[in-house]
Amino acid sequence: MSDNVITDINGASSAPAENNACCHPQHAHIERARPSGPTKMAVESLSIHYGSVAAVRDITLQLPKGEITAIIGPSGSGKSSFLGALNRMVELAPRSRVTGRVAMDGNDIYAPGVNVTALRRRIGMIFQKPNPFPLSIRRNITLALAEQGVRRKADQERILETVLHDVGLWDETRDRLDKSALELSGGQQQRLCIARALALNPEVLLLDEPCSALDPISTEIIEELIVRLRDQLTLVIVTHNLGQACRLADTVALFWVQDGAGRLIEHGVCEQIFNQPCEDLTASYIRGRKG
Amino acid sequence: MLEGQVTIASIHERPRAGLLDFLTALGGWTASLTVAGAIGWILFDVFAQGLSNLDWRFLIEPVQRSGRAGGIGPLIVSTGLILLVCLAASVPIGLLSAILLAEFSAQGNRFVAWVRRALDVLAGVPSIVFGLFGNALFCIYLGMGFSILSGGLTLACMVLPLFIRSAEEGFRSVPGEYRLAGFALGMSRARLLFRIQLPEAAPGLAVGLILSVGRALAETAALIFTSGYVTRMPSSLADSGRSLSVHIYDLAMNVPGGGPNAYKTALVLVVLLVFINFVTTWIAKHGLHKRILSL
Repeated sequence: MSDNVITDINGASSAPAENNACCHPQHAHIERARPSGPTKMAVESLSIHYGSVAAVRDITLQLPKGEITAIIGPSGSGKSSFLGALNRMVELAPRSRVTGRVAMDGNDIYAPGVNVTALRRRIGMIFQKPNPFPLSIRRNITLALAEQGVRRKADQERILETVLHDVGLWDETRDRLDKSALELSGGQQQRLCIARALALNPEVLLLDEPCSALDPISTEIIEELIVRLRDQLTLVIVTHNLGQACRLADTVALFWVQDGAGRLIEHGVCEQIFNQPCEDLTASYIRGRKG
Repeated sequence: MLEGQVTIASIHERPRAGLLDFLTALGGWTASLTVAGAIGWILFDVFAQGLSNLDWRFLIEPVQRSGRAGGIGPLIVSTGLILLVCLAASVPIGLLSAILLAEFSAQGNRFVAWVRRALDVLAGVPSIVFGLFGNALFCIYLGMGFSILSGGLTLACMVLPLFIRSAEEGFRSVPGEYRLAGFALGMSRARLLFRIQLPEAAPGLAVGLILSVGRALAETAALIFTSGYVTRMPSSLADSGRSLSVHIYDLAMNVPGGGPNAYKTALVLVVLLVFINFVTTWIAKHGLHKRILSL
């Protein structure tokens, strides 16, 4: 059964999709929920290998502009690898190999001649564990700014204040901007990391389980922040927390390990995935988590 | 009744366990005290014998009567120059190698494993072998003769394996998250290296530097064949110059009646080492502190 499903998904990836109501198990039209807005990033037949081991295979997925896409699925299903492929961070891993196509605004980000550092400034990334630099709060924000060409102190200060306001850290840190960022709490550190990424004015923000190391209150603050950011950015969030996916996401993608590699099982708008999943796997995953 | 049995059982168990604990503790303390005692004894001896009738002119006067009289002024200059040449050659090469090793070892590179093994072997090579190597390469083949330059470069070859390995450890102790964060922010490798990784690795680098300087200052065998043992004040790096440790060796072994001055020289050398140790540590710490507050 599951093998058939995979073939169906692959076969359907090029087929035209007119609606989200694909909730019929036998139906071959399992095309993902059509993005409601224009597509910001398009992933086609993406496979990632580490050496001879496949992490994800043949993923085709569109990320709608200005929306939040949540990626859910069990551990080891290649969610983080997929995320890393979207800003080419995956290339830092030993012996990694990416095939397929990833395009932002229609341009292949893996095309030869693409400036990877410039690309990563346009596509920010937040990690599971908050990772501020062992510098002052101020310097955490301005270090990458200076490299981007924002060298005037006044400009740096303006951006610093803006992004700290954006993440709700300004009032908490305005008096101690020159203190080490490592003195902040975990939740504050994670918000600082988001501010640091926002300072570069990215178009896409990738979040890899951004709340899994945080307490519930910090998690709530970060979730509110993510929702606020939806207006300015295209967001992709990997999460193990189905409640979080449900609260935040416009569209949800379920990854699952099949034949030793992560596959995209289903992608659709949030309500459909949670209430009327097309796939048995999705249904049982959601149900399992509920019960 | 049951309690009583348990107590009896534990009484039977206890003495053996207690004895073992006692012996372990005794062994540990004996070993530590032996080491500490040996060092303490050496230091006490050096200070007691060296401090008697030591005055500041000993530090600046030229060597007289093969070291039985006069001071060690020129030797301090020679030692400093040899050390400078050594560090000028070994620190840049060592840092670059350590960065490469640390960077590529993360990726399980085969070549790096071989380089590391080669360095470990080199670190264990006796210094006299480095002396002969330096003599053949720098003094004869490259025509530098017996000179401070030859001696410094030979020392550089000798301390490089040690410095590279400890500097590499320094770089590897920097959390990989900083690297990820930097790359995710589109920072260049150079900025990441100079602004984050290098300052963060500074304490480890300082340790490597202290070990290297200590080994270089203590060296005699490698220097006898390369920088020679002329006691004159050197006028350039091409001059031969005697280092403090060579002087101690010469006074102790070859010069009857050189004992008192050998002790004084040893005292100067020990104080110099402690001083360099202190300064290096302070700079590493101070640099770190300043970096956090900067801007």
